[in-house]
Amino acid sequence: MLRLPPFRYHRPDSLDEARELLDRHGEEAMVIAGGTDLVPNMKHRLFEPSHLISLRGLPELTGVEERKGWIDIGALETLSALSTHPVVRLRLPSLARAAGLVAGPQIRNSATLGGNLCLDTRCTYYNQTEFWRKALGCCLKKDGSVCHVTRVGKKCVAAHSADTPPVLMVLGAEVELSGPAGTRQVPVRDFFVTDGIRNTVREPGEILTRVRVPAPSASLATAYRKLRVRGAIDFPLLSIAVGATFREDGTVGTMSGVVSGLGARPRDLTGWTELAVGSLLDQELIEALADRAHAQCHPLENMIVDPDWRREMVRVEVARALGELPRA
Amino acid sequence: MSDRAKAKSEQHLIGKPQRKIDGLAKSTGEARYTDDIALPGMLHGKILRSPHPHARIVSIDLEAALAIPGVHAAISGKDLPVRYGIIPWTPDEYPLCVERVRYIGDGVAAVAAVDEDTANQALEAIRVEYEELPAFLTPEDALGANGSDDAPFIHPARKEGRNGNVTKRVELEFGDVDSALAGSDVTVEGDYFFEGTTHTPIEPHCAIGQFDGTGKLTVWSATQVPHYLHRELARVLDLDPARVRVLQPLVGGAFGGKSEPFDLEFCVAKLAMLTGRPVKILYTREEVFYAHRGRHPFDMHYVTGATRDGMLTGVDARIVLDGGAYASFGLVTTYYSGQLLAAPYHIPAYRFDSTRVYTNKPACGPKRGHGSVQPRFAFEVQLDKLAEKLELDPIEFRRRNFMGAHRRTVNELRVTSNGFLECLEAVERASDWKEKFRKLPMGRGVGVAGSCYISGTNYPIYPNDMPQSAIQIQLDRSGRVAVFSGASEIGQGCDSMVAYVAAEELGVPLEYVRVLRGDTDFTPVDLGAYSSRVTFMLGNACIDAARKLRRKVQEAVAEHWGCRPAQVLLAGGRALYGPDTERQIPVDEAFQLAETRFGTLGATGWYNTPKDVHGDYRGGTIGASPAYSFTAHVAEVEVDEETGVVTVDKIWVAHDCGRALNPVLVEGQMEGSAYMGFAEALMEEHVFKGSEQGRAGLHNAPSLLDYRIPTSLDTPELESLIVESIDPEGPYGAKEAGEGPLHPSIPAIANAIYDAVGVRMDRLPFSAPRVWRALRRGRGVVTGLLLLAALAGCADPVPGADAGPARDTVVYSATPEDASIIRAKVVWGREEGLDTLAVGEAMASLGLTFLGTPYRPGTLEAPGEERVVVNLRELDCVTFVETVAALTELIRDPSVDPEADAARLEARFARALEARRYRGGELDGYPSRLHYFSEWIRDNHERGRVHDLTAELGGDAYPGPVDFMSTHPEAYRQLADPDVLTAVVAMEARESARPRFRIPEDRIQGVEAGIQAGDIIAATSAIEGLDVAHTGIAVRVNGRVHLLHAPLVGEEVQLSAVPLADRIKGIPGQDGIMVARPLDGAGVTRGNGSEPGGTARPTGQED
Amino acid sequence: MRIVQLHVNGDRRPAGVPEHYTLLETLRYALGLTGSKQGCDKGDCGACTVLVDGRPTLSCITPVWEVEGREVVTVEGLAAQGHPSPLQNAFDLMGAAQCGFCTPGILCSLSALLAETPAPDLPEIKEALSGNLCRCTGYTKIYEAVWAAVDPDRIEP
Repeated sequence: MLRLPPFRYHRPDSLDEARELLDRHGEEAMVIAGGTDLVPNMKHRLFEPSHLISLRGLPELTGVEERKGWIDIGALETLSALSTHPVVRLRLPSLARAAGLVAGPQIRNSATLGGNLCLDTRCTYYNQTEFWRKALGCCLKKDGSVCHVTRVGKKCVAAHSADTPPVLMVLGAEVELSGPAGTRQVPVRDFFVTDGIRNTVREPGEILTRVRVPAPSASLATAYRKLRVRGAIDFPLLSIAVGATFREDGTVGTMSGVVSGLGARPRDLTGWTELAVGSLLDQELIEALADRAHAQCHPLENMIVDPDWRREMVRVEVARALGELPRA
Repeated sequence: MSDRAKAKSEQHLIGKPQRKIDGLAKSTGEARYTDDIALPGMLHGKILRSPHPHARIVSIDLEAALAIPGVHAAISGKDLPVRYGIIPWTPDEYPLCVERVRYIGDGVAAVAAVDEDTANQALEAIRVEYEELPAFLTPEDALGANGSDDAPFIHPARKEGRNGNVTKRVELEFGDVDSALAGSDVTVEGDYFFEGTTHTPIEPHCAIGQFDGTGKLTVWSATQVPHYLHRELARVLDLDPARVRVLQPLVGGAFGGKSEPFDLEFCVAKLAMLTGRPVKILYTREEVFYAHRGRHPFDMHYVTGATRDGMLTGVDARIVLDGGAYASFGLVTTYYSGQLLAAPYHIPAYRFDSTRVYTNKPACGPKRGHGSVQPRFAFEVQLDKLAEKLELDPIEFRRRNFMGAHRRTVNELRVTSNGFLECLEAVERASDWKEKFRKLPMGRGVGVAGSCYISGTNYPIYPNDMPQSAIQIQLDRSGRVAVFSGASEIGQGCDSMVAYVAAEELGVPLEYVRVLRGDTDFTPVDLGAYSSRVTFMLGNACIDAARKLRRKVQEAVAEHWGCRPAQVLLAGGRALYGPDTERQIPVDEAFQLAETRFGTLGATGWYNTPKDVHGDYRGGTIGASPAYSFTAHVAEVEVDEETGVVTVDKIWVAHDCGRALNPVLVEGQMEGSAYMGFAEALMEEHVFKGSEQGRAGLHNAPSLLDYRIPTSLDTPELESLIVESIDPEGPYGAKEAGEGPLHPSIPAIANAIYDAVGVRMDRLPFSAPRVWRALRRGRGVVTGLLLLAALAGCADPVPGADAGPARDTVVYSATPEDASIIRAKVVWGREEGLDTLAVGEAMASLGLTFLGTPYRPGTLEAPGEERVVVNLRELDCVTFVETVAALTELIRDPSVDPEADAARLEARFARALEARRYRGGELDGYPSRLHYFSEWIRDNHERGRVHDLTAELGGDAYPGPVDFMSTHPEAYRQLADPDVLTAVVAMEARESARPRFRIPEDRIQGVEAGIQAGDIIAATSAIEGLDVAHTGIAVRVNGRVHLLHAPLVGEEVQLSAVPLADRIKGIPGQDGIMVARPLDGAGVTRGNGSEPGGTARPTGQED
Repeated sequence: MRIVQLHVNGDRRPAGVPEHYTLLETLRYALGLTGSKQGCDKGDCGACTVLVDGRPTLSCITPVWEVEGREVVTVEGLAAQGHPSPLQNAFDLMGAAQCGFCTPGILCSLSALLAETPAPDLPEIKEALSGNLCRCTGYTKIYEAVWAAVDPDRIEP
């Protein structure tokens, strides 16, 4: 059986204690929530922290409540909890859907929202055993100097592969990061950076504690689609979140879209406002928006999938997501 | 009473659903598998594997590893320097590599330590120096090797001058294939590729070795061939076989993946011998992928012929097997690739040429349906293509070619019972086939396929005449029946099967039977769970042993009752007096009587195969089986035309298992097989990275995340339909059910995809990207690049160049259905010799084949950019004429190959359409379309495609403007665009100024003599500003000219009831006709553009 | 080595294990509860599924300390006083277990389903089963077993 590397396990009782432990052990330490991403990665020797700090049960990181125009979600809430939570299902149906589409039921029972936001980027040359990666000669994301996807350049193009962030971006959500320097709020749109090696702005000493979503206006419609080979136990080959508000006369008020599963950062689709605002969301507009998305997205061979097909699927899946937008 | 009914009525347990004897243990967690065993003082072993696909081992240094505290032993190849191989003629493996590694993952050293972590540390401490060698990843490359340092053989050639990279080549021919194919009315030729797949049992391989003070070796292993393991352990470790014991705990799935010895079994044995302590090795999932021995990738070329009335004439097959680094069962696989295709259809002449090639990848071997799943896929798709050419229902086509029961195949295999026809009928009925085939809406389809498989092999893997299967039964006075079985329980239920048989024969309740199993120390030899042999052979062995004991019990009870032994029945836990079943005693008392009379009750039973049931030629024994099972599937699929995603909604599985000893278990095998075939069809790809992907020969993704097998959400509904043919030699008539039902899944799905969207999937798997690409080609939304690719190798790479400058793209739209209609029409036209008739006659005959095609106006008014709309499914009066003319051109152009792929055919056809539909023969936006048919005639006349006869036949000039379009802009969407409108107005002005002729309706009959079949007729319009109201093709009926045309909404292409002249008179809006005669030769849209237009004489005017 | 305090199948089971052991390794190699299986090493196949506080959980990617003080139920704990649960019984009757290696994990997933949804329909069963790979059955007999457990009348004679 693949073994975990040795580590010391800590279970703090409070967020302060957790931060203190993290501070004390610095780069030697990693936090673990659900562990569904971290543990396989440790078994692959992608991470070998000598200290694991468990966030399990920290009260500061739990709970879902709506107050003062925000829906406030603890980072430790599991994906299955989110996908079934009445408030989330009613107010943030696309978030519930995205959470419910992750992997399989067992993973969703352990995996947390915070963990999904901090999911390590993925690549066919990276998420492999130590033996495999050594036979390959490793890659620049871990222990190596080349990128086998682009074969040139020093930029890691491992793919952001989490389901919930695209929806959170469309919803204008923000995350709360708690670190030695105190607590800060970061919009999910700014949380991710285009570096495949470390694709978030979270500092090593920081813990993602909560996710806050502005209570959506009644007129906000959202949809989420995930392209994958199997009905379960699959990361997205492509994921699309779209959000729009509609005016009295049925024309588009606002329109935004995010595509992920491509590079290190979920891609905010540009040029949609100009195309959509003031028009009716008819087939013609849907095609125009899909074409615009298609023009912006260029999948790489960081997954074992025909990239031409994946690119064409941007057009198809975006159009379908727009078609799925609930209409008043 | 029929034999079948009789056979059934005689049994009490057999044929009815029963619990499995290990069913509860498996659902409570009690069941013990190899890794569930922990022995006192047990060490943990690990194997160091090669990071190189092909390399020479320069040195191995184990010292540093041995120095680590807790490491008890370390070994390398030189500690076990004995070659082995499951097939005695091809031993080419060492337990650990000696001198040479041949794939990434090949084992080079092993260690035993106190725990797994320490063992892993030890592996890291081992120093191996390699000298890399060129690696071959494809058979093509490997066959190019010459044994030099630059191109070394992966294994030394077995004979001087041979290519060391060829494991085995088999060439066999039965009958005269060449003349059979030459004499065929129809042949289909195709290339197919079957991608490699692997077994993926959920239990990884695991083995434990123990060596005791007395020098006895014991090995526990998750193997499906304990007997062969026993032999090889003794041979490789140089031990007395009598001092080797192999135990086989329950096996967590195998599917052929555990049917030969593996490195871990030799390593635990050797490490146990060195340390004196038990040693366990459990493969990681990654190692399971490296051990592999799965389905070979096959490159296949087939030619299949048939007579016009649908009887197969001959089959010619050429196959290259990608074998991976070692031979494994490869010699057999190479034979099976051809030998097992010869049923269930009667094939008069058959030839195959199969070559297995070594490559630097994990070795391939036997996976469920060993060697015959790949050719079955290709062949059953060939049959589908043939059926379509013959315009036969594919089920009917298969039915016609059914070989029958109790026959010999063309390669002289003896087939006994054969329920294939019932299988076909069962799936045809259950799937509602007749209502679905070619009738479901676009995107949905059904497909059928059939197959056959062996129930064991007549010859064991190593030559010997001893029983192939044996069993021992012992009874005691308590009524308990102890069955000692050496068969391999891998989940298929063979332990339960012998319990059912023993209970049936001895009349005891199932609970009285104990099956003692999986230990070579106390069970008779059974060769293992492979080639679907167990039920047939072990079942017969068990009947043999049980009946020996039953006779003794009957005899003892008969003596006691003073009756004849035959009058004593054993059933339901009692011995009964046949003539009066009120008279009975409990079975334990019966056993006591027998034990008193004969002493302790025990018996052995065995089975051996008939040896005279195959041809007398080299290899004739391979594929010979005591009985064959037969299967038919119908699959129903949905294809998402935008994404290429194929959803298999349901598979109907009908399988002739001879006799279902326990229908629940038989259904389980049928469903599991169909599932596994479905998985290979849609998902599974056991593939490796190339040098351009970082590392040549590196497994693409050795995990259950990336090697995707279907979840519950992906798996189709599976309906099992058991067919029982009652085999004369099988136990109670039983045959195999574990492998046969896999075969048809794959071709049935391929054929269903074709029925759904009209694209042929001849390469596996049918993944969304592959289907999407095929659909893009099929639908003909063609970019210049794609089209060039599609046209590569075409005789005339640039169709349509006669009209204007040569161009290499034609922008058109069509559906896969159009492609198949084009193909069908061209094939038909050639068979009817339309290419030999005058063009007009050809057009008339072809036109008649469109009778019944629905009328639909406005099919050319597709949204977006003007493109050549190809639509042969729905026609209006003009597209009917254009379509028939263009098709006629294709039929008469020898460079057009009807078997060319859809894109090429469509592009060619679209070009021929374009040459007629657009001014100057070239599409240049909406205004370039010849909207007014009078201009259509003139423009085509000027380019030599038609000859305008109207004036010659005495037509009058009739002036007057044509401006219907510009005066009715609301009727033409495109005219909304001011530029288009301007262009159209200009065109109308031009046309209005030109002379036009018409033959007034009252004079038509007078000129009929001058009108020939196939002439294009335009009915002139009485409406202001419109030149032509209707068009069609002239056809002669009883000496009169009638009109073949697409008339009206709600109607279909039809032949006018009354002659043309009367028809025109009868229609107020039409006042005369124009006549244009289609031209040939120069008219053919040639690709090279060398043919001048306009100069040709009208054909048919010579006389 | 460190002692982890576990509650497994209703028993308090302190176990001395290396600190980096997973729950699966602890159950199988320290507590001798070998019913839960290891199939894929890293959470891809579901053979190691156990119930943690009633929820199906992948024990092969769960560090054992994460379940300290929580209620763990393995396949061995599904039978009450040695009486197989209706679902376990139905698995045998309906032929839902062939090689049986994925069965313990599947039984845990389905037991959780039945606890929440006493009479599930096919889509609900498929969803609950979607994290457990079975290579033998094609899943069909497993659905039939669930229905048989829910409603014994559905067991075909």
